[in-house]
Amino acid sequence: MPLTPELKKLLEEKGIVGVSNEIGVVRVYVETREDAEKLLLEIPEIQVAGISYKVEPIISGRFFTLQALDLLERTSRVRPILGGISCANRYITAGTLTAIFRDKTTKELKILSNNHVLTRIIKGIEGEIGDEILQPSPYDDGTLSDVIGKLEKFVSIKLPPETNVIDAAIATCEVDSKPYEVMDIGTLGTITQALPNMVVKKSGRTTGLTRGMIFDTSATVKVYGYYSPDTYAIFEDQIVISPAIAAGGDSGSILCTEDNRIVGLIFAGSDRFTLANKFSYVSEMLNLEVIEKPIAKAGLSLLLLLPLAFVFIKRKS
Amino acid sequence: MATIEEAFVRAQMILIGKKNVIGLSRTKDRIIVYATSPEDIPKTILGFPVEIIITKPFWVL
Repeated sequence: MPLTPELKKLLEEKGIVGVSNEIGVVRVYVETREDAEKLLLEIPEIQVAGISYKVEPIISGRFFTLQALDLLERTSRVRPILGGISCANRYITAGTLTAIFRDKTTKELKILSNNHVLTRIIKGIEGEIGDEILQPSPYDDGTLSDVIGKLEKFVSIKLPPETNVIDAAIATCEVDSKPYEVMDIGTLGTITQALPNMVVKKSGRTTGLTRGMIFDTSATVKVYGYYSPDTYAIFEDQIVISPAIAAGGDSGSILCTEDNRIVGLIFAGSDRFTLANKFSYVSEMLNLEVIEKPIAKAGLSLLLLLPLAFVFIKRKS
Repeated sequence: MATIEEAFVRAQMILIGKKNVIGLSRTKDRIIVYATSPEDIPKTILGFPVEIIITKPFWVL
């Protein structure tokens, strides 16, 4: 039924987010219980096109586009923590938590993101080991009651004439977490090499899940924003993705293939491109363990092969 | 005839210091230059053609 002037007027009221006039009743979708009580008190019945209808309030909450809902979740407090959500050093604005990885030697869980997300480098100094890491980021209203770990190790960003290959750091993981899980991506697999025209996806705090194509597999680039807005650092052997699939606050997003093999770590971009470090450098320089294909699938394959192996052995004997 | 790797090393030496040049790369047969404008970028380097890609500067995200 088209929206009548009476229902249109009702929809303009604060706290009312939807109306419908079906099967002899006017349903009114409201944000809160208080809105429902107020509605019943003030408008128990309504005249629509000369006919009187009972009003039935439905507490639905506010409606969001699914994309906005997804982004709202990424910038809120999320526990257990996982990749693709807002996180940053307490002294900076915002970034993305790449994922939780294990240290190859100690097997301890570590929070991974960019150096410029977990340290204070964009404020002029790389900061102190032990700096608190917040989830959500300070820009998303994260406070010292949202500490998820402490800065443990970073690969220092060198200025020209010296060059870099990664912008990465790790923090201790001091809250409940989902290792190797990334929001909207799932479980990460092993590392794979970046190839020209490969379709890749990323999951980040600001723009959520987006896809692009690898444009260049080994570029040398100048990136601005370290230590001060006027200085740049040179990065060698970088992945260039087209079009731009990330925005401010997406730094730290994992870059992976459609089947979740890890390709890179997103850290910078321009109006046309997004840049990522090769993940093989990140895992090697920070001593991080990656896992083979999801265990469930490997386990299932083994289970399917076992009866066949049994028949084969029996026939042989 | 120089190799593409030699041309790439040469490109890094002569171009990375230029203000408008913000990135360099290579394919099997050409040098790629990411730049904010095309000024002062040669058409060839050690015999290899140069492809210029215009983009805004790269910033940390």
